[in-house]
Amino acid sequence: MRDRNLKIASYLLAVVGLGCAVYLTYTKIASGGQCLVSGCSVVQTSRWSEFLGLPVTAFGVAGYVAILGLLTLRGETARLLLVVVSGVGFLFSMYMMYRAYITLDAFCPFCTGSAAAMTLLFLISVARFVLGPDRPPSGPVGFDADEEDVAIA
Amino acid sequence: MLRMSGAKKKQEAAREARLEREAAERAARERSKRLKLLGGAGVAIVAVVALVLALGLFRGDATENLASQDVTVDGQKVEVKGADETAALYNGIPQTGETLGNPDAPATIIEIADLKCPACQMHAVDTHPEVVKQLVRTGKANLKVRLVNFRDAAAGTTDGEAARNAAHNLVAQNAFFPFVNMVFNNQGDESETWATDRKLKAIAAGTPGLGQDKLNTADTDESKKLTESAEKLATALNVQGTPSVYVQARGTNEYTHVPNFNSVEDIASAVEEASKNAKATR
Repeated sequence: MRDRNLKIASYLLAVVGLGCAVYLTYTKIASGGQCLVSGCSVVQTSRWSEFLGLPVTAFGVAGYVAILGLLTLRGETARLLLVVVSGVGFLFSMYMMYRAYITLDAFCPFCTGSAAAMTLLFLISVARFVLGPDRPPSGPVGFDADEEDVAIA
Repeated sequence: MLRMSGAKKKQEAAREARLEREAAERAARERSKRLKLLGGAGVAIVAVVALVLALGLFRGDATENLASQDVTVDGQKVEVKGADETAALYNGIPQTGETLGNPDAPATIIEIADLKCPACQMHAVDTHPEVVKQLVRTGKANLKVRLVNFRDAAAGTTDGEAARNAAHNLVAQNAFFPFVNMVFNNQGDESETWATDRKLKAIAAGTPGLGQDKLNTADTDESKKLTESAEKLATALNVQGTPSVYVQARGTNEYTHVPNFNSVEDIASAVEEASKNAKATR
């Protein structure tokens, strides 16, 4: 149950993060980075808003989509990849937060929301990987509750 | 029978103990494997992010496309950037002390900036030229740059003050704007002491119409007056960060804040609005 709850929380966080990233990408493409909040516009028009010629938030969208995809997969590899993808997203978000708050002195709620979601996703992914899948009291090591569900169904 | 049953129980207990031990060993191996994998993942994560940041794949550095030239300071060659762009930017625009452009323009754009702030550099290189071109050169507004010094205190440095003094001491010579623009074009890392005497001399040497002999980083009466005036205005406007852009209608004390200081459109809209409220010139 513990792993299942953490997985549900991951889904919710990924959806929240995806929402923020999609909004920021849309405003960057549609209005050159002008958004509802001025601090957000400052960040979105700065040099750190573009990466490889694309809105940096588009990479956030891709990251959240990848996380949602990995959450649907089972097994050790998928859990490890979740740690890696969310870990890269987390470190990158921290760098962007440094640029927003320290360099630009701007508060961007959508960027902060996405960074918070990514941070929590990383922590949860690490916990899920370390703790392993749910096991019944007498079940074999490595038993995955999701697999039981499929078998019962 | 009783003896056999006792032996069986003993065997059963030994089997259970072995199974438990094997399960514990398996779990320990599993945990150790996971932790090793996690360590590897951590290294991979740090490597990927470090590589991405080291490659500097963000939108180009604000000053990377500026032309550079060598100037000689104390017998050594020093590279300075942006002299040609600065000359072209202000060419033919009147400078009256702290004011760039027509002093009677219906609106005044006020940029509150810090010579050591990287966001101010971005604004100076990316947005300021367009503001000058579209709004100052056309006479729609004039422009004042008021220098504050927030970064020195935050970074524990003092060179920002020397740079600000040097800029303020050039106001009387109507050379304030090109020097300030050149300081931004050649800005160093905000957390380091880069505005040294040598660097400021090089910037002055590269500034169109100036020369290193005109550089004065001393805290003079003139610089004190301008510093106090800039800080008083920043306090009155409750400026929380730099750059901050305001627009003032001619003959009024009303300041309109332009939150997105990087948007020339927003600044132009504020100028248009302020122009409607401008008082007649005397």
